[in-house]
Amino acid sequence: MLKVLNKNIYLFILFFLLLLLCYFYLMIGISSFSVLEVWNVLTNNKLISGTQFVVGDVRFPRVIIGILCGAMFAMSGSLLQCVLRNPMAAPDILGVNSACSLFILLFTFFIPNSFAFSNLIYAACGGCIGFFVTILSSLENKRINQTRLIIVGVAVGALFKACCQFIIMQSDERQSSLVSFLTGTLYHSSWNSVQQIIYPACFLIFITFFLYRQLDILLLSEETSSSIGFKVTKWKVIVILLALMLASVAVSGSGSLGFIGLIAPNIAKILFGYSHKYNLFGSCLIGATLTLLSDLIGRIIFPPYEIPAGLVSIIIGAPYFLYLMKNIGRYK
Amino acid sequence: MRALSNNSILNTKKFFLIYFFCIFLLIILFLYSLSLGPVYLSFEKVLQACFQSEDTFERRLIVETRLARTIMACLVGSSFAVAGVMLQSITKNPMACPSLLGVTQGAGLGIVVILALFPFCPLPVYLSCAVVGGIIASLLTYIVAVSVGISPLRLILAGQAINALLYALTQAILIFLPTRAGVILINLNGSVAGANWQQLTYVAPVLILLILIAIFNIKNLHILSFGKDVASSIGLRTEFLIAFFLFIIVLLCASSVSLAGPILFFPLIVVHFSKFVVGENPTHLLPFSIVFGAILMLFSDCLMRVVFANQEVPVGFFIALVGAPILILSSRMKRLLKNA
Repeated sequence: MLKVLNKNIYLFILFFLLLLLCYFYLMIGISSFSVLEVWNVLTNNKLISGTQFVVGDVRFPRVIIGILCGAMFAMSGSLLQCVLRNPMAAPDILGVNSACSLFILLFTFFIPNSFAFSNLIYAACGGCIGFFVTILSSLENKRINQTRLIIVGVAVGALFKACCQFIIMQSDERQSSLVSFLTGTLYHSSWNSVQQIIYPACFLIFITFFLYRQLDILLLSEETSSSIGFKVTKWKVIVILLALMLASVAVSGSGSLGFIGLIAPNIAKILFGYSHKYNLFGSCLIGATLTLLSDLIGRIIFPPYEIPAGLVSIIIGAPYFLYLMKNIGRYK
Repeated sequence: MRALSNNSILNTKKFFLIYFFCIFLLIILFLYSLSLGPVYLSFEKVLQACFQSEDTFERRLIVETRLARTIMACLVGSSFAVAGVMLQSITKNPMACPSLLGVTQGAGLGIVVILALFPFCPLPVYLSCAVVGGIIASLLTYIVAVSVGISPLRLILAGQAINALLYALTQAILIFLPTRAGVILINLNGSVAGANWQQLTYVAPVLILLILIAIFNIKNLHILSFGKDVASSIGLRTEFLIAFFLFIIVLLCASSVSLAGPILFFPLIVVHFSKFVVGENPTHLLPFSIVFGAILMLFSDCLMRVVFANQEVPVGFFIALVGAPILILSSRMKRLLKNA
């Protein structure tokens, strides 16, 4: 549809928008700062302790976590939609996110003394289990029924979510921050949590970008791709595992942000077409932008209170989901 | 499925046998629920307290705290069950369930909104807001479903998206109600713990009236379940009847939600189990599911109270744990695939 040059320009515009949004995000809030003040903090110039604290230690980690998690959810959605050939597939729709949250909660509840990257490992286990429960229960004659896949995913999600709520009710007050895993929020971001997820996140995102050729081939019919010597099953498994890892790292960073993994890839498809070379970058940038935007809206709409980013993203995403359902015929 | 259709030719004698057994079970559960609590009372004492007019400690304990909870659990269970049966007969969709089409979540949102605006509003206002919320949500689902095309799976998908939206809105509003949020949050997961006589006296007559209306309309429901064409060829005003039934469903759900909160999957479980036992004929299904709904709700409430004796665990959790697999199974039913 679009020429290559145009796509590059689109990507650049998106990137620029994201940067602008970040800067804006750092500026406004309950206490707002001027452009110059934020710039001074970012360049370590003329430090004022109050501004330094709010912008550098409270908002900046939040921006990083927001961008990383949004990008990862979006990428995970892209991969799943490609492999399952279902435009409504996404980690939160397929029950992966709630399974990750459940496992994180379970293990932090029963094994309080956790080691460095424990959350990531728990989340990864949970994500795999959730995904395979969903896939196994939607199989029919060894094929996946597309509409049923979504319903089963929603049901599995509800199941794991009920377990999560149950565990939260059992836990005492000091673990009340665990509640955030259910709705998804950037509220608890700190430099510590950035340290936890930044290496695996960058690594996974980096790897995924190199897979764009394989992803493009996966979009073809199975006969075509195997006739050119492409090992379909092997790559499918790799891509699915990658998607699950992306989702679980994202969940351990920000909790389950609803609908980001669903909307971002679909917007990217509209803007950049189906070729994954641009599509992946696009969906990444859009996911990050949407997440930051949801958090920003949640933060500034009713100042003393904060609406978690996960709720805002559901409120934005659900209508889009309905719109998508209406047009799903066109994708097949 | 063949086993099910054979079951529906269940003879009347057998049906009454099952029915009476269930009522017997319900009575036992009722008494058991009265005996449960921080102070355990034996069956004898419960019976004594119920049938003697002396003003003893046990009598007060039972009448003032436990009886309301027990009656409420029965009523809410039955009315959710009736709503589920009616909805499935109308839509001919084995996955239809008011809690999956946004009706209960909408009623919950209505309640939260009115509590946010007027924290101490009188009960009738509270109830009518739940009804308004339920009606708006079901209209929304209906509009979306029509524009998306009503296939059984898609209807549920649309309902789920609207459910998610309403859930997010509810949670967002709850953030502004820090003081009462804890109480409401428990209630929003579905719990009968907040029972009191004051609420019950308002809502119970409404619920009983609605259930009676449903029972008197069994014949129409039965005819509707054969499809619109059959119904209109007999001379029924199908459009009017469907709208009327939908209104009753919303009223039933909204009133139950105002008592016990939106309990996800509950009607689905009741209807599927009842279908398994007595078949799909509404004349058997409706009365059976009324009793079975009450039994299931009482049973889950008792179970939660026994297993987690020293804290209040909402019934909704247990129901969701049982209900999600049933939703998955029902989406796999062969009959559905033919329609889809």
